[in-house]
Amino acid sequence: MQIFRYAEQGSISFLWIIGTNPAVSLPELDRIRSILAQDRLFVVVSDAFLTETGELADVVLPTALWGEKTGTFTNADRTVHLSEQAVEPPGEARSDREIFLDFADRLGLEDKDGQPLLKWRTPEEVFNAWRECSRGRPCDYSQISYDALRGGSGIQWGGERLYTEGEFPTDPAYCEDFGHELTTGVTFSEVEFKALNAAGRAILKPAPYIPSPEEPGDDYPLRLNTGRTVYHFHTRTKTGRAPQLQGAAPDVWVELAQADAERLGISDGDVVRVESPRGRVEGPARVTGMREGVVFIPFHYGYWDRDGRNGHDRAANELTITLWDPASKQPIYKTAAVRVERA
Amino acid sequence: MKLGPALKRLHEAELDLAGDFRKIGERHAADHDVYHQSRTFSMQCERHAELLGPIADRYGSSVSEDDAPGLWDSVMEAVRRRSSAGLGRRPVSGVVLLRDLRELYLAAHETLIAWVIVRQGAMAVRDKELLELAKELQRETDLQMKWALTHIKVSSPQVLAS
Repeated sequence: MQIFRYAEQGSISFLWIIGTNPAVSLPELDRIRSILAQDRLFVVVSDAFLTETGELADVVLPTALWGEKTGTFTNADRTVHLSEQAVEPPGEARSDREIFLDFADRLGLEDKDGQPLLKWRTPEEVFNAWRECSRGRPCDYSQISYDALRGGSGIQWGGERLYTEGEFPTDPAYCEDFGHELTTGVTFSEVEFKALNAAGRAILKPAPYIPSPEEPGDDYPLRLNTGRTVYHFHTRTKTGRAPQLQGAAPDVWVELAQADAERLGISDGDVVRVESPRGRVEGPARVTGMREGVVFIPFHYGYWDRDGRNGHDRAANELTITLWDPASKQPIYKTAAVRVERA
Repeated sequence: MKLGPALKRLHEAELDLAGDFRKIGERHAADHDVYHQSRTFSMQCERHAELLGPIADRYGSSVSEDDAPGLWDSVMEAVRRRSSAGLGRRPVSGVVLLRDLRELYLAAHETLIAWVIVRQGAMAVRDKELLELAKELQRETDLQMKWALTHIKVSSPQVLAS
């Protein structure tokens, strides 16, 4: 989000977007599109398919998907998996690694001895460089190797359980940073962190309730929540092209509470228009047992697979607000004020 | 006893700081995090001033209550927000932001000092109610100051090196 702010301001003039689709996934899409469309910003997009973001790029680099390249990935539960190449990537597509290395070679990046700055070439060499980089740090991959990963289905870094002795990485000489105050993002100094004297204990931080910056009111009386369906991942770049998944959830919908639907004269299946101060979305209503006063729209749907329809009225993030949590930097996707009417 | 004038001074500092946060936040409406956090802080300062009012009265230094924003203020507010949309697209907006954050840091520091003085005074006259209040609100002022400093640290590299 901050990078996009810098691009908006003009202090970033080259943006390389890799395997992500901000023109559908970030809040307030009209703003995101207008930033990406600026003449003074040179946008490169690396992706396996032409996304909504790719449509706004100056250069698109087609990339290989899993199955077309070898590498590891780590799940949210710390499990590291090795994914081996099964087929050649189509057309001109190359793996991100090959593209990065080509870019580094063309830039002529060298170390002090005049040797290439990047010593690694193959996926396994990259992984081994990361093992060394993380050795002895809180997130330590040094015990994992390609050979070990080929022996089973996945290995958790740090072992099956962390902190089994009740010892947390809060030693000031070892921890990754000194943390933040949660409501403002104020960073703690080393001195303040040391004064906590955590000494291997975990640090639990309280935070008071803070109302949303955009509470429902007279003009926009309902609260928008955006989220997911089990059939799609993020902006459907891949799941939208899997016929079974696409068939199960082909288009956007607007979920409403029974009482709100009755008050607005909306029945299940009616096409409704949802508006916030930033944009609008249209889709069929689903009247469900959800909480009164709340509207839900899945955020997966963008514009690449619309048959002939124009206009930006399908992506839930047309409606969301440009703001993020000050400590985690996570955008605020779960609350914005909207109004709903029959379209 | 001079605790009354010290409270009045603090009351003024809080209202000034509330105005600074409001004005500067609006000027940087395109920096959404600055805008929203400044608005929150502005309301926090106003609450501080509200809580201080009756205590200052009790110590014989009444604070005037006609500080509510008038028509002129709301006109200026709209102008600042509108012009920030234009400013927000220009690289110079970063330099202006740094200057403004510096001003906020200093103003918050000034308020913090006023709190320290009042708190020491409250201890001397054994005013437990004021002491409790000072402890709680001073923490918020301290956070306001540190927020400005954190933002200065975050913003400087991009502003200066670009």
